[in-house]
Amino acid sequence: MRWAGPAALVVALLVPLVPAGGYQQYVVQVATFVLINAAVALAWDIQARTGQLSLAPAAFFGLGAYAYTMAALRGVPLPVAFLLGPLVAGAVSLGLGVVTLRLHGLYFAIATLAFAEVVKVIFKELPLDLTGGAVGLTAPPLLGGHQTGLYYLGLGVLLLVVAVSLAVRHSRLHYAFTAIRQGELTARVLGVRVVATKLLAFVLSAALTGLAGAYATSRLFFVIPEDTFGIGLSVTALATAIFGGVYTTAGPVLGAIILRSLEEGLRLVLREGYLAVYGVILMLVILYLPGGLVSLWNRRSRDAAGGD
Amino acid sequence: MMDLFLQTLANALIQSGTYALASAGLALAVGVLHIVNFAHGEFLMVGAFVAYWLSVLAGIDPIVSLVPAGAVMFAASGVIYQASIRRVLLAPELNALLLTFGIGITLQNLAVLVFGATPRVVHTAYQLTAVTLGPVSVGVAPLMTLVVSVTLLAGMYAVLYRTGIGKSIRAVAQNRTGAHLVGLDVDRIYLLTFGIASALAAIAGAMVLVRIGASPHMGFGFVLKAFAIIVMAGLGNLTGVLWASLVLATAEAFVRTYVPGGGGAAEAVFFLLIFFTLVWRSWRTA
Amino acid sequence: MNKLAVVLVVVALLAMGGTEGLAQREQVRIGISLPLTGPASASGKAAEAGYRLALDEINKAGGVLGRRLQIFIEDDGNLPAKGVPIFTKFVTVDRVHAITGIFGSAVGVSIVGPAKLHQPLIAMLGAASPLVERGFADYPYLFHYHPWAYHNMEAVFNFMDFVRTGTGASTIAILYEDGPFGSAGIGDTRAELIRRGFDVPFMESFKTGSGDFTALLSRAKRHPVDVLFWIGFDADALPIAVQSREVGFKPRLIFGTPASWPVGYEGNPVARDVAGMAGWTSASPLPASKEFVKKYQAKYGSLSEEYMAPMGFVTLTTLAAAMNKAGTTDKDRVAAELAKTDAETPVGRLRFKPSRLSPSVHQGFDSDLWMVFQFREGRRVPVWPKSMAAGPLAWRWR
Repeated sequence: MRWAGPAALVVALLVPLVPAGGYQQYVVQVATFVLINAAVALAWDIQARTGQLSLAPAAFFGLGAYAYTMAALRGVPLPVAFLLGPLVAGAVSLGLGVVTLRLHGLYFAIATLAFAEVVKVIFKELPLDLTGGAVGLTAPPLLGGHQTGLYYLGLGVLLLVVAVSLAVRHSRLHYAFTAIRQGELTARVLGVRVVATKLLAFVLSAALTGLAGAYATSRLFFVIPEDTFGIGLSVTALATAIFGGVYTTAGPVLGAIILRSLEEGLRLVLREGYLAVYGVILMLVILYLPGGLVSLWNRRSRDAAGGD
Repeated sequence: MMDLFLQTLANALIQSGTYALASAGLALAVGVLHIVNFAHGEFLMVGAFVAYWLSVLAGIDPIVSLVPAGAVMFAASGVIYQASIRRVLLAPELNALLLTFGIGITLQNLAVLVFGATPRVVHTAYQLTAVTLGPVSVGVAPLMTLVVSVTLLAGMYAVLYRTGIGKSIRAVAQNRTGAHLVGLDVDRIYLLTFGIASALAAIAGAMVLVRIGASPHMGFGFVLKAFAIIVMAGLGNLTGVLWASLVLATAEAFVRTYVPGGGGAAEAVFFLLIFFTLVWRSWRTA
Repeated sequence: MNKLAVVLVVVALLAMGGTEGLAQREQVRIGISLPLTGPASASGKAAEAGYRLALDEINKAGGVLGRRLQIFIEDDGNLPAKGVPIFTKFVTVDRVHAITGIFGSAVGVSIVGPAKLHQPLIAMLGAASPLVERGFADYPYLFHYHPWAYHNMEAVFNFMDFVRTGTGASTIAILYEDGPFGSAGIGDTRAELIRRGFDVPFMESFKTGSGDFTALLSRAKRHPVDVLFWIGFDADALPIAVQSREVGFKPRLIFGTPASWPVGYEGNPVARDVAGMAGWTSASPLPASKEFVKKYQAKYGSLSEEYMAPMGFVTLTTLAAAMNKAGTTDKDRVAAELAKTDAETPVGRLRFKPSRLSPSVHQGFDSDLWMVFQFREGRRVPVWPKSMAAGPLAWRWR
């Protein structure tokens, strides 16, 4: 399956060029949102590899989005504002990571959820001229709102997340992450610097999520606390990653592509009640493919390679 | 000044009943089956709709419908357990999360399809009655929710700690393999526990119907808070659910009452309190 | 060589006949983006019913430009991530001649980019947030039918003035939900009420759907309040009315402005004399409304109280009429005709004016859209403005 990654990249690069007839721009639009979902889900997965189930992606996505918007509206050059997104999200996550270092499992999940909810309320309650309150702010578009250009920028964002994910996978970090996931005590015995590794995973993940947030805002042209910090974003991230296959690079990306195509397809075909069918498909996939979509692929490649 | 203070305390006590009721089933499911049930809010919604239609079509009071609502969800959850939940119990734990997420989406959108998204409300004779005790005035309906909630939690506690089946449930919760080794039918106990947990959600739904109404999207807000409450109580700690509900409801009521602009901030206080409790506890015990 | 000649002749003929001839032979298509899933779907479904009613009527009357009108209804779920691709699909795949629907403000803002790129004619059904108005600044093809949030508040002010004149009420407590719907310009609302001579001793935000108002209402109770004014959603209607009684809070009038009310609320004794603001009720005395109600019942067999039903109907009807008047689907000519619209509709008289914050935007209804009704004997009885009133304002005397 060596060719799968590069092949996918080529396809992604060609999306805006494929003569899909009238559907071309529509496909680019859908693909752009797939890129955002994939980036957030993969960023979530990177951190999940240390065994910590975070429900804070919404917070970091929102922080990135607000950092970009607020800076851009105050005259900061757009590229700089864009980079402020991941910086702010990363910086805040460092603080949160240190504080929640000793929490595990559902306790960690709920602590991060609580954090995200508190941040949302804070942005709602801050003075109007600062954050726009509950009504939010309009954000200036990047690249003058050029649709194809923005698609490639989004692809760049996702590729960066993929690159980080692959770097983690093919470095010693992979063993550190996996060891921590299987038990912190054992990891410590094995010589893994547990605190530093966990923090690194958390900050990396948050910064990448913040980048996705800044990017999404430059496409959507607005930030509103209820949407931008919406808990649905965190839930979608983890559902996408689990659906595609956790602890892999391909899984969350594949999950984002399939889930979104599935939803669009069902909507176009069924019109009524398509989300109920969507829910049933989620259930079936996880029942019959406990490892997510990638397990289908890995099983085949393992057969082909004669066992791994 | 004293009047307002007492009234605030009463408001907090009343609200804690709703919180505890919405959380009790979840505490059981998480504590025993060790799964995060994202569909708990939708089970609550099913209970609310069962009670709604019984009220509209048969004129049955929702307080009576607690029983059929719980029974319907008990039966339905048995089917759900056999068809899906039991198959992810041994899978990676994240799988149960996606599975129940899928169940939730399905139930919610079926409800939208069949009933529409507009909330539906019922009328009960006691909805407009309030009990006045000195300076404090409390509605009868929420008082009943509190009573139901305390009764059910006490009942659950009694079952868990005073009966044989309760002992089995606790054994399975503590150590699945060990329970299996001493000859307990783990699968049946899971089925039973999941059924009770789901029935409790439906009962909470019937009570919420009286207070707010029934709508396909009603569950999420409650399940979010319920998760926070059971985690604050400590997983598997049933009595903890009561006090955690009380503490959080009290904090919310006092912020709403005494802090100017506290109406919207109460939500933040709820989660802030949970955040600090969890963090503080994790550092203290280390 | 011959082929080339034929092609040249055809091209020349087409050029002489102008694009109009071509357009007339082409079917007219309109894209409609609505929330048909999610919490906003109650309004979306109501609007869909209105649109379909209008479609039947338009096609029965000969369609648009002599051809059957074709509509594409898509579910945006009130989410930008769905609304933006749908908008693009309308323009590039379905090649629609105009886009309508768009109920939520988040979708409304997020389509600003694609709209500026493709410049389609938009007849926007909802999206009252000022973010939408500012986002579409300088856009010449937006016809925004629904009043902006500040229009809604102007209607509230006028109603309050009416209440004061009739009853002497002067103190108002305000409860508003903490999302964009309830919080938009809330500070200005309070300031304006005070400027008009009202006393606003209590104003608090709440989280919609939480169902717990006891603490806030206990606090409001400490002020001698004439009117409880709340801005929230349908799920808040029952708890606010019930819990006011529970804590012994007795304002002389409860007045709320949710976009829709719960099913069964009107039959609940607690709802008696609760006042609500609506763009329309089926009891409206307007002739156009009575006609609409008749047609609606004939098609669906039941009655809707959602004002989005007539709003959808009006939007498509006026859009089709403008196309017929223009005699073409050319968006500049249709826009020019639409701008001249002056119609008596089920929800009142429709004329477009330059929008206040973005004058290039054509603004349809304003504060005059709104009426106030009170729940009485299981029905909605219009009580304000006088031209609409079917009964007096019921008022709890101390």
